[in-house]
This record gives sequence, structure tokens and C-alpha cells, in this order.
Amino acid sequence: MKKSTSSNLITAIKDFLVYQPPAQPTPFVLTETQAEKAENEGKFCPSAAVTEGIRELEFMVNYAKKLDAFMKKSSKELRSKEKHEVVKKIKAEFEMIQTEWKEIKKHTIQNHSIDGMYNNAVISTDINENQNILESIYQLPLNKDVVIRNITISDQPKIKVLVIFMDGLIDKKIINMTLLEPLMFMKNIQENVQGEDFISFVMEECLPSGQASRVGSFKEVQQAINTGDAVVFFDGCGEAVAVETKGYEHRSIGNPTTEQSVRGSQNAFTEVLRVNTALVRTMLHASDLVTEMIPIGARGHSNCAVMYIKSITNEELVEEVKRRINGISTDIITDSGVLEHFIEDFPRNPFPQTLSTERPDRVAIHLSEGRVAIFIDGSPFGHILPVSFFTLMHSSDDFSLNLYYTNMLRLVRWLGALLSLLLPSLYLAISTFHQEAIPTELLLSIAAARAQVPFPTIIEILFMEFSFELIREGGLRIPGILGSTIGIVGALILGQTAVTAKIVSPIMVIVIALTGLASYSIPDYRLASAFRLTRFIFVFLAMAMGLIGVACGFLLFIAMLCSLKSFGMPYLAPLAPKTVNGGDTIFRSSSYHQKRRPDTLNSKDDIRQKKPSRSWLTESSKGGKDHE
Amino acid sequence: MYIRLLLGIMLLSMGVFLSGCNGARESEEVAYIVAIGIDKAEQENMIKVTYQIAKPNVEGNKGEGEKDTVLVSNSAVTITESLNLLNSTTSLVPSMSHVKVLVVGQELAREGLANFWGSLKRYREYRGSMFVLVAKGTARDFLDGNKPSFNISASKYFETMLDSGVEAGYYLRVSFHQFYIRLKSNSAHPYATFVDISDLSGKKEIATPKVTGSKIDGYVAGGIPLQGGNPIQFAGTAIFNGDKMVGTLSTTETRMMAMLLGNFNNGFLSMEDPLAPTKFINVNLRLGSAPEIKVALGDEAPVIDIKILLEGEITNLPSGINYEQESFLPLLEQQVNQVCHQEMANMIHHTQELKSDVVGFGYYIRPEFTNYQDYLQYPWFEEYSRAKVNIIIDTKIRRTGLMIRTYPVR
Repeated sequence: MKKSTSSNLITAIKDFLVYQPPAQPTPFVLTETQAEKAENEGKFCPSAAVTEGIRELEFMVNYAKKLDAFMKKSSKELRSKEKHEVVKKIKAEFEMIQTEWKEIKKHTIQNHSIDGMYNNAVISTDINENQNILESIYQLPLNKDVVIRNITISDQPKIKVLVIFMDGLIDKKIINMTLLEPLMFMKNIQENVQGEDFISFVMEECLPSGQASRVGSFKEVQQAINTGDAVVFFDGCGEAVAVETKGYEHRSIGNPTTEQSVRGSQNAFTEVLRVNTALVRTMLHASDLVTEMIPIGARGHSNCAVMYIKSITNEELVEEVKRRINGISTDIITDSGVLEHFIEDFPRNPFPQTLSTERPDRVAIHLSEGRVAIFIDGSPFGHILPVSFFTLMHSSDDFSLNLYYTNMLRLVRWLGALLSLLLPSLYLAISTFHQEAIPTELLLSIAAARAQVPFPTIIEILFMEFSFELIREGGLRIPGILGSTIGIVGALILGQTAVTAKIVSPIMVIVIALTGLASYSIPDYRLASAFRLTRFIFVFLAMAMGLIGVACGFLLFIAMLCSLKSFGMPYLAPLAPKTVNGGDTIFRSSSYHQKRRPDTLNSKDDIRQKKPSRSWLTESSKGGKDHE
Repeated sequence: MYIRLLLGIMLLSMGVFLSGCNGARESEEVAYIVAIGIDKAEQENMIKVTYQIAKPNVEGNKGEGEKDTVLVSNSAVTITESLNLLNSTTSLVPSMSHVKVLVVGQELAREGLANFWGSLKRYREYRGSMFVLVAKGTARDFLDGNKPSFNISASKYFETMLDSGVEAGYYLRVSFHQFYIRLKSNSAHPYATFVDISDLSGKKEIATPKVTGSKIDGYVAGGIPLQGGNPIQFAGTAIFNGDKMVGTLSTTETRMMAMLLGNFNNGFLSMEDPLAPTKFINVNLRLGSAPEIKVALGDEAPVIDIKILLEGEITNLPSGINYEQESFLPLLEQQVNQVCHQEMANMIHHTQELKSDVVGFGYYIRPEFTNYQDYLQYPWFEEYSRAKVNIIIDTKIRRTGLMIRTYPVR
């Protein structure tokens, strides 16, 4: 007894002293799904398509029951009543049931969709069937965004109607005024209006909406609902009507933020595709400016707009662009940059092969040259293609300014590009391999400044480059207006103290700052980042082999650019291969001298303006003469 | 698929980074030599090489009056051996790629330079653009005595000093490469800038006295009366026969040589007033066109015809005589012609005596021969000393300075 008390005591002390994990609720663990587990174990697991298959089977069973009922009914009637009228009636009913069978057959032959979203399902004539499918697609009543409204229209006969739309994407006013009101106050319809005729009757007589279209499959129905349209189903019709009721919130048109210009238009694209295409049209009032819509993405169903001027643009180019976009199979694309990676020739190459712009005026100009523009829903950037390296070095207001001033700016830009590519590597190569190329005084001051720096020049360069990129990236991610301030302060303090602490030499700060500044003189952001990336390769080549390394690297760099193609157009055209100079390559000529469109685009109409583009020069004016 | 790409990149980068050029040297690990002096050493058959090494001027580390260069001398048999010895005495790697001047002591220059000129030319680090100077004393004393009075570094000092030679034409700059070309030539002899340090006492040593009508004497370095400032002087030219120095040309003679070489940019001439011989006249002269030189073989001796066009501007007329007038101007031009003619004749005679064709008249005689072999047969350097020289100097006073008319001082 005594022993047990002591042992109890010991246990109590032990329990008190020894660590016990605190009592916690069972933690939530995000484990693999059954399907994944089964896949890992090599077992077969039925996918979501199976449920769709089950639904289909049920559908067929229903049909069979209907058919059975019809046959029983017709045999009974055939036996009982007078033949003539009955046969006519049965014949009509039989034809209806036969068309339904054809649809089912067509539908079952098609491939089944794999995601269980009824992408291949056609609209049934039975409104309850349709509602069941819609509820299954939109996970109703779990999903609160989708609204299904059941109404009954017309007194003689009563027709059940189902209206479905996505709350938030639609304008309630439009739904009430142009859809519900006219339908509910619809006059009685004649009895002979049936099936397809009924749909066209409704569309012609009762829907005062700008855009209304017939839809036959659930894929189209989903697309319409998901982009803000309302879809109306009628009982007994194998089709539905999609009515335009879009009315969602979006950002208004603002100023360009990445392509500012002193002169030129100040409009920029926004996130809504329709607004963007309209912005282009406000700049370019051509009747044969075509906007084709191609839906992309199995889940996203984003629309991609392909714009071109029919009478100018090379048809093969348009076909190729459309072919590539149609060939994309992915779940969702929300950004034009992602779309570009799906369709460009060399997605691994950092050099951009399309011109990404947020300016409608730029798109308009390039469309008129015979290029194609693509937009995607949700992205405020349009992509122009094909482009050459030189187009990317042009800025939007090059043609708004004086010829000579523009050319000086372009020279500055090209030098900036060259500096941003080569300056650190040239500094490294010359200061470590070719000291005889530096003026003695400068060399002595470099040596003096470097005397107390413990690291070799390459480490200095990498350190400074890294800090610069850090400031750039950090400055971009710091929220709000703090960003630029902290970036500048960081750069100043870091540069100053790094020099004072003898971690880097002052001349290195100059080199890196100049390089950083020069990289921003490149107008295209993606081109600038490609240059920034390539710069590091040059630095390593300079470290290993001096100027020889830089020269070899530059040769390879040029060769790489020469081999690059943007949608079939050589990247360095019109310089390599040499084609007809359009007057706007590195430097530009006067606008009135640019008679031809870029030769490399092989557009249908090569001539941009007639030979005397300023006919007033040859005419005599009515004013006085200069010397009078 | 990627394994091949990856392997390619790995092999390429290994090739580049492992076998890459390993000649890289950080800028602060190198001793930059800005001047080399070569003298005869005390020991037999040895030379004493002096290196002027630049000290990188770290801000704030330089004391008052402290020199920004270090002088290191060593004696060796050859110049390359001396470089090896230098490496043993400095922690930094000596680099010759920034040498501005090569100074040769007169004693060594008179013995001949051919022995080491080749090794200087052949090794890649020596620049062909470094200037050649001959010091009257020793090169080491010259480099030691050089104390630039303005706040410029030693390398900058030599560059600007030799660039500014064209302002008066009293000394000519000659690069190592030019010297080397002339050393190998059979038509001209080399020359070099003559330099010396003065004792700053202000005493003068005339090398060539003034000619009739002139007011100026010729000096060579070391003889210019000088007080204060940097004691070193660049004046006159050391002239060579082959690789051996044979004599010097004075400042006035150097100027005439510059005219003949076509290098004469600018220079004042002070001479007697033709109408009032006690007073003087100052004219600023420059070459109007390249000198016209023709050399003919002649009957017994070659004949050298020289035609020189000078353009001038009056800079001072203390006598008050109106030389600006058209009637007086020819008198003035005549005076310039006469002074220059005489100085040039004297200078050419001097070089003929020394058997040194520094002007390079040999180049002008080549058209007289049908082929090069014939020319090689002709003993030009011997013939030169016998050559007959005809000089025509034509002066045009184009401008009268900022005054158009003179009145005598009352």
C-alpha cells in the first residue's frame, strides 16, 4: 500500500516534470485527393465525366420511357378512333420524337467532355431537364452568384420560361427593362408557333435588346452566362436565347503609366476587351478593320480579340495568328503576356517578339502598317505582331516631335541600350586586362580608389548589380507611395555608405548607376529586362577573357538576334536580311517621305501614300509673293 | 533532350572559365611607370635604369610637398634584366604600358643606343608613343630634378610639356617609334629632344650667337637664364649619326629645323628694325605652306633647293615707323627673309659638319634614282656633308595685329 502511494507520487511528479504535448484539436491537413492517391497507386478512378455519363444515361432512359409511352398511346388510339386524323396527329408527334432521337444520336457520337461541365451537352426541349443540368453545372443552390428565375409567359398556352444570369456581371436595370418586362407582358401567341419558329418570334417581337443570339449547346450557354449575358430557356424549345445584359464594374480609361509621352494621345487601354477594341476604333475609323473573337481556355473562357485591317494585312499572317491561338488548350489565360508565351516562336528567348503596348494610338498606327493586334479580356495591354528589334526601340511620340530632335533622342536611346548591355563588362575588361587603354590620370585615380577595397572588381560589380536589382525590385514591391521614396533613399544611402566603408570604389558606383539609368532609356520594358539579363553573361565573359570575351559574346549576341523570328518575320529586318528601307529603322525620315509600308510585312497594299504626298507644294497659292 | 543542352553549357563554361585568359590584374596591383631613364653605370658594360613610378594619389594621404612619384634605380647588363631586378624591389607588378618618356643620358647617347633600342621596341608593353629625351647630364638627375611647379602629376607634366613645344618651335617632340624608324633609315638620322636641369642662378650660356639683323641668341637646355620654377629645361635638339649622338642644335636652329620638317606652327621672331637698327621689331611667324624641298644629284655634289613660305603678323613696333603701309611692308618682309635665310643656312651647315641629316633630305633625293638598289649604292650620308644648299625664303606679313597704324611714343 505504502509502495503504491510512493509510486503514485513518483508518477505525479513525473507527469508534472516531463513535457506533455498540449491537447490540441486535430489539425487540418491538405492531403491528396482520392483520384491522385489512386493514380499514384496505379488504380483506375472514375472522373467527373462519369457523373455526366450517368446524367446522359438517365436522359436516355427518360427518352426511352417517353418513347414507350408514345407507342402505347398511339397503338391504343389507332385501335380506338377513326384512322385519318389520328394518323396525321401521330405522324406529327412521331416526327418530333424522331428529331429528338437524331439530336441524341449526334450528341452521343461526340466526344464527352472530361471536366463534367456538360460542354458537349445540347439544350433539351424539356425545361426541367435543362434546369437540372444548369443546377449541376453551377452547383446550385450552393453557389449564390447565379440566379435562376422561373416565370410563366403568355396565357394561351402557358409557357414556362427560365431566365438565368450571373449576379454582379449584369445590369439589373437592363434585365428588368429589356427582358423580364417585355416577356411578362407578352401578348398571346398563335398556337401554330412551335419550336424554332417560337424562338425567332420571341427574338423578333418581344426582346428590345441590342444583342440577342440563339444558343444551342450548354457550352455556349455557359460562355454567355459567365461573361454577363442572361440566357432565356423556353419550355419545349431545343434552343435558348442569350441576351446581352452586361453591366459590370471596371476601371475607367486612364493615362498610360508605362508608356508616358510628352506629346501624343493620353489614352490607355483598360481591362475590358470591348472598351479596348473600341478605343482602337476611335483612332482608326476604317470599315475593314476586322475584330475577330476567339475564346481561349477550358475553364476561363476568355475572349481573345484579333484585330487587323483586311485590305492591308497579309492573309497568311492573320491565318497563322488565328491558327496558333486556336491551338491553345489550357484552363485559363488572364494576361496578354501569358497568351504571348503560348503563341510566340521562341518563348525561351528573353527578347520580346511582340510589341506590348497600352496606347491605342500605337496600335492604330501599327495596324495601318499591316500588322495584327491581339487583345485578351482582362489585360490592359495589346500585343502587336510581328515586330522587329527596331520597332521595340521606337517610342510612341517619335513622330510627334521634330525630325532632328527625334533622331537625337533615338541616338541617345541606342547608346543607352549599348551602355546598359556592355558598360560593366567593358569596365571590367579594360580595368583588369587592358590598363593601357585608360588615360594614365584616370587609371591612377581608379587604382587609388581601389587601393583600400578588399574585393576584386568582379565581386564589386556583382555586389553593386545585385544591390541595384534589389533596390529596383524592392522599390517595386514596397506598397504605395513609399516605394519610390524608399528606393531613392536606399540607393543614395547604400551607394554613399558602400563607398565610405570601402566596399566598392566610387567609380564602380558611377558605372553601375550609369548602366541602371541607361537601361531605362530603352522604351520597351521587356526589351530592357532582356538586356539586363544578357549583361550578366557579358560580365562573366569579360571576367574570363577580357575584351576578347566581350567581342565573342557580342558576336554570338548578334547571331542570336539574327536567327530570331517574330511570327515569321526576321527580328533584325530590315537590316538583316536587307530589305527596302522604309525610312524608320534606327533613325526616321520625314513622315511625308515614308511612301511605303514596311517591306518585311509583305502587306497587300505596299503604298502608304501617293507620290506627291504634299500636292499643295506644286499648286500656286492665292496669297501675295514674298518679295512684294 | 535537355541533358545535351546542359552538357553543352557546362562544357562551354568550363572551357571559358578554367582555360580563360589569366592575365587579369587588378588596377591597384600594378606599379605604373611613367618615365624611364637610362644612363651609363659606373661598372663596365652596364647600364643604370631609373624608373619613375606613379603613386596613386589617395585623397588626403598626400602630404605637403610630397612627390606623387617614386624614383627607383638599378644597374643591370640589359634593360630586361633591370626589369627583373625592379620586380624584386617593388611589391607591385611593374607595368610599362603607361611610360610617357624615355630619357637617355648624354654620355650613353654618345656611345650608341642600338644595343637596347631593339629590346625596347620588341617587348609589347613599351609604347611606341613614348617620347625620347636626351639629358645633358644623367637621366637620373633629370628625373630627380623635375619638380613640376603646377599641381599636375608627373605623367601629365610630360604630356603637356611635349605638346606645348609647338608653341615656339624651340624644341621638337619625337616619339620612340619615330626615333626607331629613323634609326633604321638610310635617308635620315634620328634626333631627340634635349633636356637639362639648370641651377636656377640666372646665368646664360649662348650656344649659337645671333645672326646679323636678328636680336635673339640660340640656347641649348641648361643654358637658358632661369630663376624660380621648375629647374628643368626643354630646349634644343640632340642630333644623332646612326645610333650615336653627335651634337646638339640650339633653340634657333631647332626652329629652322621645324620649318624644314613642316612642324613649325607658331613662333615669335625678334629682329632689328631695318630703318632704326637700335630698335627691334617683333613678328609672329608660321609656315604658310609645307616646305618645298628639291634635291638634285648635281655635278660633283648634291644640290639642295629649299623654298619656304612664311606668313606673319606684326606684334610689336617700338620705333613708331609705319610698317603697316604698303611701301614699308616689303622692307619688313625683306628683313625676316634675310634673318631666316641666314639662320637656316647656319643650321644646315652645322648638321653638315656633324654629318647628321636630321632634316631627312635623303628622302627627297630618292626620285633621282631609277630603282632602290641604285639609291642604296649611293653614299648619301657622306655626300650630304658636301651638298650645296640654296634657300629661298618668302615672307608675307598678312596682318598687323590689333593696330592698323603706328604713332611714335611722345
